[in-house]
Amino acid sequence: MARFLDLPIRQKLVVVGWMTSLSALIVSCVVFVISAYFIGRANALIGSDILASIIAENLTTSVLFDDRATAGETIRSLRATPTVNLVCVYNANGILIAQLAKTAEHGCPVSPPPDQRAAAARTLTVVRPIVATDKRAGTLYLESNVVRLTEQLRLQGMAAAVGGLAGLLIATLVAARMHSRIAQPIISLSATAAGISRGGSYAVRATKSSNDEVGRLVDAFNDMLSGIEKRDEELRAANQMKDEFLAALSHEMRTPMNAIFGWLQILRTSPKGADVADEAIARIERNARVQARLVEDLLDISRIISGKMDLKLVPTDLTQAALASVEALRPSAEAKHIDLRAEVPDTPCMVSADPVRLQQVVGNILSNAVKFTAEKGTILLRVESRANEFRLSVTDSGIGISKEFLPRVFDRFRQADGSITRQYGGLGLGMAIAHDLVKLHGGTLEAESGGPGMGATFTMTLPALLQREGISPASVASGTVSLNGLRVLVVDDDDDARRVAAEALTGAGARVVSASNGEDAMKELASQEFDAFVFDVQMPAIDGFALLKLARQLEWEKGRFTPAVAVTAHAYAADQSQARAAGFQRVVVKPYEFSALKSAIADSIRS
Amino acid sequence: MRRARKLAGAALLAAGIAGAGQLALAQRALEYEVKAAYLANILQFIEWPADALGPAGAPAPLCIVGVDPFGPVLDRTMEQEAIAGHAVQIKRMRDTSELAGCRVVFVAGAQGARLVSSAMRAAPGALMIGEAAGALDEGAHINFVVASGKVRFDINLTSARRSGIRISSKLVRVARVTRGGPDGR
Repeated sequence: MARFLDLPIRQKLVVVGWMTSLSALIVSCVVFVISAYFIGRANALIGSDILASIIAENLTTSVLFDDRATAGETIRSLRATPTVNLVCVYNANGILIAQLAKTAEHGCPVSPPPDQRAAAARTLTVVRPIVATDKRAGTLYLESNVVRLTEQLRLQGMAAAVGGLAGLLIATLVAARMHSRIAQPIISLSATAAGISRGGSYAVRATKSSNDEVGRLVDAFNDMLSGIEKRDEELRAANQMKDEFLAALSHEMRTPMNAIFGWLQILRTSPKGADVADEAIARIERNARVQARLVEDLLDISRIISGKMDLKLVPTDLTQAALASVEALRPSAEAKHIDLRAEVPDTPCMVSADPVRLQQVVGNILSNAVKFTAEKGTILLRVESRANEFRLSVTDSGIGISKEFLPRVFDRFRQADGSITRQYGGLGLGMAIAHDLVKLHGGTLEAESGGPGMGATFTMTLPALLQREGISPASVASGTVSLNGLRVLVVDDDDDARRVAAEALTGAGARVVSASNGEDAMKELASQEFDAFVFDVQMPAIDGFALLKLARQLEWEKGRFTPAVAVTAHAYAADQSQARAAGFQRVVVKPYEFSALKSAIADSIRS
Repeated sequence: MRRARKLAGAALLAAGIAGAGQLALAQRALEYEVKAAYLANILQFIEWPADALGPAGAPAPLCIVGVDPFGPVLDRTMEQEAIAGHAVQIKRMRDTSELAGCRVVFVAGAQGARLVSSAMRAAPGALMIGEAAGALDEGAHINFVVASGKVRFDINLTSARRSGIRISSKLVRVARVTRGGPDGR
């Protein structure tokens, strides 16, 4: 059966055709021969009876007048009839008066058997009266054989078989054409598919020659090809977009880096205490922040795409966030002489939001406006209170957005065209992130524009938080944290990172002990006590998690517990929750502001 | 049936007794028993013209001319016989003067040949049966003979045709001698 399944469809059809015809032929032959046998026997018996009745009729007078010679003559006429075996004539008294025995098997019975018409396996026996007028004048016994019948049957069977085989042959020849009708579309479809998978074009289509299952298969196949072709096109477009994005990313990374290296060289070559130093430091810092922002944006996009953006939703005043962003953007607006104004209500506009993210959204919208607004343009930020929501709109007098690009303004990695990227820089991530963040907050962000040169308006809507009373807005910026007199153990294998952390904490009044690996750290732990740990997570030999485990063991023996802060370059929430699970009280993600590290230590001690 | 069995038995006896060559009387009685039975059988194979037998229900006379050789055996044999539905009525007469109306005439005796022609004149259309050598020459249709101890008969088809009598070919088949072909030549 398995071998049958492996046959090509054309041969399968031939085999199936043969099998059906052959079985039909065999069955009909058998039925024909069997029925012919029974019909033949019945006919032979009838024939035998007719023969007997004719002979009996001719024997009437011979029997009546006891003319044995004539009786013998009459039955001798049956000598030439091959089926007749034995003929016996009895007179009315049951005395045998004439007989004809052709086979020596047995002679005539002494007295006549009872009248009968019987068919045995090999002989047919007819015993019938010889009647004169209406009286019985004697008895005729006629025994025939069925040799002719079996001979006939053999001939008929052979004829049926020969005829059937001839029919089968003709049927096969006729079927060969039909077979190719059925198999050809499948074969050509298969060839088309093979051609495509060998690297042919997806633009090829299979030809449909019928409306049956194969025809539907061809349709489905062609639909599939269309789908693949479209997907292929999309893939190519996405690939091209990714290439463009990578080029842009590289450009965006290099520009601030170039500035940083440049100002570093100036700093190194200028004499100590020169005036240029302050400007150099300020410029290096700004460019480093631009780079950090870039990395942060990339991470945000990655978080949003993978659904790992964790929002810490707390009651937040939209107005405050908006004003803080306006102030943050004011320097860059003023650099372009842009008139940046804000109109806000005098009551707090409380929404449920992650304050850092909310400020990021408004900042992105504003910086986008600043970026695309020409010198001496205007930007107006307005916060309005509606029935159940707050609306923040930013209207600029910038280059505007074309009708074609408007629906894709929030697509990731996209700016209206390459020339805009070259002219204005940026990765086209800011608005995409803003849009996604607003959506995560349960709000909407929409763009409107009268067209190129007509400026644009971005409108964010956030649902209002219902309970307005007794809620103090969370502070976005934390004040200065004092770590006065705290003993902190800092462990990091990276020299710079360790130095930076030590510097930051010392500046806040802490006494810092540093170690570059787990082994040294354990030595310090054995010799003295600390108020807080700051461990890098990724270190060779003993990583931060293992080190904390060892430290906690040591402390447990001494009956102490020191709060711990993990520092990691892994920005994902999963890494942070892993660190918390390992026993760290706080997690700080690199790169960090000094204030973030300091408040993390302070928080960890407080909790 | 009864008659047939008797006939066969008589035939055997006749053969046996003839072989013995004795008791001529008994032999003669047996011979006539057989002839009576054959007479009855022969009538089954004869066809008369449609109106020759008279109205329905009228008896068909069988007339014996000369000295009656049968005795009561013929009456017994003919008791249940009929010719095409007409009961057989046996009449015995010395000469041929009263034969008119007879349907079957049996001319008895070995010397009866000379009576045949006058009997035929007296009863035209009757089946003429004899038992004398030469009877067939005189015009008898059927003539009994005894050959090898068996009773047989000869047939004259030409004469029968002339009298309007049809004799079945079945009967012809068992005749010892047949004169005249079936088509009259």
